[in-house]
Amino acid sequence: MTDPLFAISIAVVALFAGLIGSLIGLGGGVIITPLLVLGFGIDIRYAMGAALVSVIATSSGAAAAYLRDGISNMRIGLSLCVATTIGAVGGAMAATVLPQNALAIIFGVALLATVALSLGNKKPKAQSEDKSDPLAVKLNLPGSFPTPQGMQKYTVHRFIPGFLMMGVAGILSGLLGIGSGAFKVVAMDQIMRIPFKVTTATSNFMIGVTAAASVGIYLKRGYLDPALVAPVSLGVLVGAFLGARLLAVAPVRILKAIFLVMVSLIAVQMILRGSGVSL
Amino acid sequence: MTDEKIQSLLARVMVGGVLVSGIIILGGLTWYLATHIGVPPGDHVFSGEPKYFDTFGGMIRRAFSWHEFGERRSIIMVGIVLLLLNPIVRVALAVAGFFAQRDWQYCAISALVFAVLVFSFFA
Repeated sequence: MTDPLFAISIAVVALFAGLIGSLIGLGGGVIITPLLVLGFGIDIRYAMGAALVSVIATSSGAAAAYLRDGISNMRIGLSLCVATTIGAVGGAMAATVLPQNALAIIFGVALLATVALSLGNKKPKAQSEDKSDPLAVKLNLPGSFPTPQGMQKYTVHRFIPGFLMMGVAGILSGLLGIGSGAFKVVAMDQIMRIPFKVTTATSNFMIGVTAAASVGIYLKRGYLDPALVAPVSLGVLVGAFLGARLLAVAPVRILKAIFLVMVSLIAVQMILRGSGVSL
Repeated sequence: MTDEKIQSLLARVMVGGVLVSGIIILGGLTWYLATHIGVPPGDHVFSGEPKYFDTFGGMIRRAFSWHEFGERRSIIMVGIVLLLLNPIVRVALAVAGFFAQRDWQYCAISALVFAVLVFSFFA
């Protein structure tokens, strides 16, 4: 990619992807790739490479804030990163042999699943009385996090199923060049029953580490075009930053509904594109 | 070193790293685009990037070889690689932090994650 006008329009689109992503709680990465493919006709492999770099940028920024607040649990994050990084290496290797069309279809399906997951209920679970999984205790995973009422202790359940789900999240991350945050949240929130605040914070820490495990392979395969990665990652980074600011003042529920419909349509478009149907 | 100390050190490294690499990427992109006005974009067909982007040393050499006018992209690449190193440094610091705490279990777990990352970059 070379023409400045093209780069600027990509940066603007990436900014909106980052903004929308942070407003509805998806990563910018999962939105920017279909926009680059469908809107700009960019090869999906270049798009995935650029998106994955932007995922690392935003997750590093967001994770830093959570780490400082002491909400994310590094032990949970690191022990589960064993699964996500190994999965990501496998996924990235698979991505290098799969045809473009198959990638587009899998991407569309994963995007639809992401939307469905973000519609799921997130009501806090009463769980302070029950006991943690013995393995989780052995791994020293249960912790506490700051709440307005002081430090609150929490338990950690079903480590092995959560760990396996994290492997799946890692594979998707490497295969599609996404952060797969929604899948990480499922593993920690739904399966391991870790409090939602701790889950989202820890997931941000993990997303960057997971993405780093596949980006090296993308780099070696020539998926990272600097002239595309630059406007995409800068745009998404700025967009995500603005989104986090807007979150406090924007009518989030309405925006979320509108954007989720938009993202679903984009996902269907990706599937059609991959199947060779043109609209 | 306590968990809180490790975490706040990590947070600072992460934010600083993102800012520095963002500035390098922006600078490299601006300069690159300024020298490529009117050149049509070429991302529609996948051709893979040049081999010298494989190694960090190769990128740095390209970035600072001024007579190679067409390779301003290497400056952007240096910024990108700095950004990619961010999570790796994050894990390396965790290894060191757990080592300092004499938490051998987590020292080993984070070392394992670090090994996977290094493998993926260099294998």
